[in-house]
Amino acid sequence: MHTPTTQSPGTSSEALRFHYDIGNDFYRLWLDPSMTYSCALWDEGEGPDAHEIAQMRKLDFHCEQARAAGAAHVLDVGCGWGSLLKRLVDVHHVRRAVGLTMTRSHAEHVASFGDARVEARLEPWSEHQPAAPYDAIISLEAFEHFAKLIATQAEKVAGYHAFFSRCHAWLKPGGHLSVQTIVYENSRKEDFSRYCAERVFPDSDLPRLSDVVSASERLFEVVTLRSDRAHYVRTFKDGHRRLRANREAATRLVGADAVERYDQYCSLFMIGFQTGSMNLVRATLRRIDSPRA
Amino acid sequence: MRERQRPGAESPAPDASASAAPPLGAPEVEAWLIRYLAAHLEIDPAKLSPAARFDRLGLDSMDAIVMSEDLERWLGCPVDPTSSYEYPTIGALAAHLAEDARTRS
Repeated sequence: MHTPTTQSPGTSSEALRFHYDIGNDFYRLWLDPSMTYSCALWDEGEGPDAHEIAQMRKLDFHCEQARAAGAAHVLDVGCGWGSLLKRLVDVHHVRRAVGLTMTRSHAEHVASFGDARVEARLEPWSEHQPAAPYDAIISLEAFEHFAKLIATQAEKVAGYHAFFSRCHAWLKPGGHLSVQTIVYENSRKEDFSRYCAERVFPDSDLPRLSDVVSASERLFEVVTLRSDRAHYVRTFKDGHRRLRANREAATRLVGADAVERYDQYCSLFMIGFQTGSMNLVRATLRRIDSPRA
Repeated sequence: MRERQRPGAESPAPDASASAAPPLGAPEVEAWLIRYLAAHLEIDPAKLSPAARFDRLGLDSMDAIVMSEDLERWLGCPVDPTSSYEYPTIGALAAHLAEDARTRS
């Protein structure tokens, strides 16, 4: 582990720590037991008690989409608390899974597994230099931090293009990239309250689906695409209920103001996904091995 | 999601004092919603019917969240922040909440 020294085109590490370094014990109160902090993949009829199953189904979906099974070397950009890294090596027989994070509590948590097959590196993707090419790359809801809120449209797409260029350089020929990200859907940036920008995810901005696709042109071809906003309503609904049920314990850990911020954030995101102002995209991309200049 | 100052706990439900009077049927919840919306959105209650849609009344996402919290306190059971979007009229939300309260009791 080392401390990042240069700035990525995305959200500052300070802003990321504001959201993600509030404390593992706090997140443990309202995330599923695997601490998977991204949208689950639900089956019809599943209730909140199936949240962890739905999270594992999501991880397996991306492992399959990225063709990671049995691979030697897989990268997870934005690895969070490492549930995907563990799933890759424990279930999908990946020999080595490398995660990137900007958050020390994530890296320390993954290190606490004591599993030599997984590693979480505290470094931005823009600085990453792999020891060997990757067979597959997965990135679950890190894309939301690849553009600063103040970036212009051209800067945003240039930042996303830089990410896809890196992935292209890191992947073996014919390799797959499976990406999950929140996107603006039936909305514009200015429709959104300043609340999230100032008090929940400072210095971050969402892509549109068209930004993701255009930034990957002539580097990757889109193989499959799913829009799953209803799945995020269910995921947030469970998290929100758990946060409310554990409000006293959460307040002891992080204070009433922070609990209120996270409660509001869950509520606003639930409504955003319910109404379709935001969507949740799962995209599988295949490396174009001879990209046209 | 428009920006709006959150009303918060300093503006309780219009009839919060009546909180301990279950069982509640859909008509009671409808009446509560009409009084609540009339007070919070400054609308003549005579103009509010069960068919009124929350979005057409000007209820934004922050208002919807606060209303769900006030409903929770009044009903004494969880009310999702999305409830006024999933059940987008006064009548539909009242029927849903009454049914939900009935199955919980």
